[in-house]
Amino acid sequence: MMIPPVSTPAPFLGHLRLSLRFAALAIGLLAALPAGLHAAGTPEVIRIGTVPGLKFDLSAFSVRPGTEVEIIFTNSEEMLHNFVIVKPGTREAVGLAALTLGAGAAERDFVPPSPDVLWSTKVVPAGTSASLKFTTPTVLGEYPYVCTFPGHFVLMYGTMIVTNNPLPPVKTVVAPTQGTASGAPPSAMPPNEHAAHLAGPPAAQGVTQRAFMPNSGPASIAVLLPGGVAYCWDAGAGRFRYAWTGGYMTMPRAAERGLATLEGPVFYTEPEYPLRLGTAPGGEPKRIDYKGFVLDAQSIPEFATVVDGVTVRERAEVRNGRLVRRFRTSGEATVWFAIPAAGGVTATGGTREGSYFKFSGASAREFTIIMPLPAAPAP
Amino acid sequence: MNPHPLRPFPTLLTALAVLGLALAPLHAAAPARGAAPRGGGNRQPLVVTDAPSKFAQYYDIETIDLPPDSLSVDGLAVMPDGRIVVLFYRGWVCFYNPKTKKWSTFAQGLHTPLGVLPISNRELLVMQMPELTRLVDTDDDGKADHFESVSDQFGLSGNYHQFGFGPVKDAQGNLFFALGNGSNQARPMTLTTEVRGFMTPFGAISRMTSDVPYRGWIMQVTPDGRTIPYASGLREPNGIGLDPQGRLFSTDNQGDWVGSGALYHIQKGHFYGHPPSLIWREDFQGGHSPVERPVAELDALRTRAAVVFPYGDMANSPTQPSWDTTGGKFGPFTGQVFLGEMNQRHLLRVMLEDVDGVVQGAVTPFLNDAANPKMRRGNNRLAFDVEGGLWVAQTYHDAWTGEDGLQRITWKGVVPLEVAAMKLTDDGFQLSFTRPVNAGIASNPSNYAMKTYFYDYHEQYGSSKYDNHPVGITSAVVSPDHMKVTLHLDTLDAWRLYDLTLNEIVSEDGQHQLLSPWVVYTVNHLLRNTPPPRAPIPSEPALNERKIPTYPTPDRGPGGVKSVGGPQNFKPLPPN
Repeated sequence: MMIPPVSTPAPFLGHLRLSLRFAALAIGLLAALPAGLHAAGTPEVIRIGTVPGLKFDLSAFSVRPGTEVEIIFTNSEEMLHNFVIVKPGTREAVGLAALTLGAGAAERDFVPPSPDVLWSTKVVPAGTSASLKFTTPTVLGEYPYVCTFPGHFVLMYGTMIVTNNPLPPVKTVVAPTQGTASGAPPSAMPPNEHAAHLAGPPAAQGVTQRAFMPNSGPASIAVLLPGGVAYCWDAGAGRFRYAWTGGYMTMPRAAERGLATLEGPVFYTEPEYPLRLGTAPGGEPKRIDYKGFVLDAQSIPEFATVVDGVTVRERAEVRNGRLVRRFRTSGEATVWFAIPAAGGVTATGGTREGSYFKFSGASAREFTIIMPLPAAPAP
Repeated sequence: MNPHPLRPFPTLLTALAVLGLALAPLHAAAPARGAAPRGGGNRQPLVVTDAPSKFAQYYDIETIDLPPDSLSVDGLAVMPDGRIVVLFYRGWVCFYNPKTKKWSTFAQGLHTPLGVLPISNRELLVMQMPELTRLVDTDDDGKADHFESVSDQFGLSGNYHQFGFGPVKDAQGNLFFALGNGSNQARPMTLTTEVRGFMTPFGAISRMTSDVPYRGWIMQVTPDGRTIPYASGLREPNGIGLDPQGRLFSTDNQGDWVGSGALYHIQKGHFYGHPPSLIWREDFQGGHSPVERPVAELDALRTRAAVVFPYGDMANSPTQPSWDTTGGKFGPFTGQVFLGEMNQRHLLRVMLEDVDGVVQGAVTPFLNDAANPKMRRGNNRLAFDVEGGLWVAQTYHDAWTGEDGLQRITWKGVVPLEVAAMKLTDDGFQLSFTRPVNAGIASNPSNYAMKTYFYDYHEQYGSSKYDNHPVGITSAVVSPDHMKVTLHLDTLDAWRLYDLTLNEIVSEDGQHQLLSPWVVYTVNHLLRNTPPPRAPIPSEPALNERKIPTYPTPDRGPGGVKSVGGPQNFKPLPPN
């Protein structure tokens, strides 16, 4: 289960006409917290490691503003990681920017040239450590730290809290427990074979499981495709969210009591609903209604939505080492597809116009978007 | 599949069960079934054979072997062709064929499905956490290939307690389902950084929460597909049902604002007492939590339960109501309601009547026998088959109090001695029995013990019994056919429970003892001239139950949780 970095009532405090008793309760809670890491007058040393499942072993730590700290980051995983501290609210943007670095990415240690990056380590190979010394910001706030190795930012992050308040304790991430709420139902397939099939590619049949997925809405659907690519489809928003390789996902033991854990790194995140009907730009849909999905003989789902009155069907499969996404639409409208920044994306039947592929006439009724997969499994 | 280390000690265990001692530590010592780890240790049902049972000559209980690693049974229904459809906690939809005793899988991948309604042998409606879904096998290969969203027009925030229950379908083709509240005990309140549906913290300042649309509501889906909020004020309505006349009922579980578990007659637009769900009514939107309204105002709005189940020995967590439509194949209870109960080793049987324009009635335990551990806890879903068998599904779910399993209860053809009906009279009650009773015993008022009490309406979790006192029985008059006894009471008041214990009652032939000697009638209305309900007992607001909601703070800056999709058509929140 992924533990969100920090839980505070902050987002809604502004809306709540809190009576004094609530305010008193909140202050009381803060005061009751232990002092945490901070020891006044000596440079802080904060040790952060990794745990399986693309996580840091600290989901948050606190520092006082304008003080010297040293962070020692140890990578005990088999994968490559870095440690990047960014400005508040910019984790996703920095993570996405790292995906588009292209050829020189490794030389840059997968750190994008963004003004939002405050401090960063080099890539830290498995079993080694890196140190980061800096003076903490004087502006109070929550500064995300994140691994910007491609795809890791979706899961691998935490929060450095810069605060003058009594410091709350460091939050420790618990390693994900094994066990799944999906498992293997009774079928002609022996349980062991089915379990192996769930464990990863190559699979002959698709697998579709509804779950609380990280970085998506609560009505999400995890799809494992034959060919070993998995993706998250959000039935609440009615759109594709992200795709990953390296396995499927693990649900918490109690299916409604936690987020699913991805078994591999995300290689593509779709930042927004990609289609425009009629005009682009400016044709952002006003209403998307989810209608369901249909499984074919390979148990690959095709999702159906109604987008401003137009039925849109969307299906993804792995073909020739690429992710092939087929769209089918009803009606007459010209359809536009916002081209992902990741690069290497092609389309059939359309023409490129600016940052969109444009599909007219018959090709608007059915077209495919072809996306590259990571060249090899993540190290 | 189920090595059971407890088996060598049936006598000891039977003794423990009789004494009511906690068996949980023994359960925890048993190895887990299959490979699936479980919190709280193994919750295998206790199996002790050859125990004497007072109901063994009337009813048989058959225990069905579940497929390996299947875990709790959270949904149950009988298919038109006689197969049993079962929902497992792991998101599987499976069929059990009672003739071949074989299992097959129809679908998997659902999220906490808790209710199923067969439409045909190839089509099911399933209520799962995010959606009411239509599952269809269009190519006749025995597996669902269409997963159509019938309704997702309700809020969902990733709070673990936002369960969905139902559906049922009325004669006009309307579907009804029920939405449980979220829990303020969840930390954080939501797991995901986005929620579905408009979100308001004013539905969340309470122990159980309705911070996204229609949590705590019964919902209607019209035949043309519109989803309409139907009735509010439910806390955790784990079980809705339609009676043979098409009237809608729902159970609820004891908790904040619910003094004791109960069965409600659900009517359009009514409010049943749990306030957070009121935030979605037009007259409650804006910048206040409904729990901050005066209790008297909330009390005046609410419709009382048709039948209240005394907390404890009768029921802690009542579940799905199911009407006996077997025409006598299940015994002498046609038209009555059978319900599950999570904590006790019995079912509940409810006898309803119309009094002064409202539905009310009595509840009695069914097949209560501590000496027969074939009867399990965790009875959660019930369904009658065409042969008159009652299928009962047990669930442990996620650390609930029950056991796991599937059983079929059948009547053996011998009529037991039971209270067949309890009807309100001008000054007491008329009891009908399933057999003629010994008139000498039954006409002696000292063989009845009646007490009366009420549960208060307040924010604190649960309610004590208030003004609990015995009621004198002036006479017990046996009818000429010895099938009925009329009890005349010293006093009879509205808005109270009347809790009756029958002692010594036996059948006229002396062959049958009364199986369930405990019946509790909820008197809301009198036959006529019903006084207004009493006001709630004055009490301080339960501030300990009110908590500032804690939502995850995604590192996307102020604004916190983002609302995407679902119902959004509500008044905006007031400015800061």
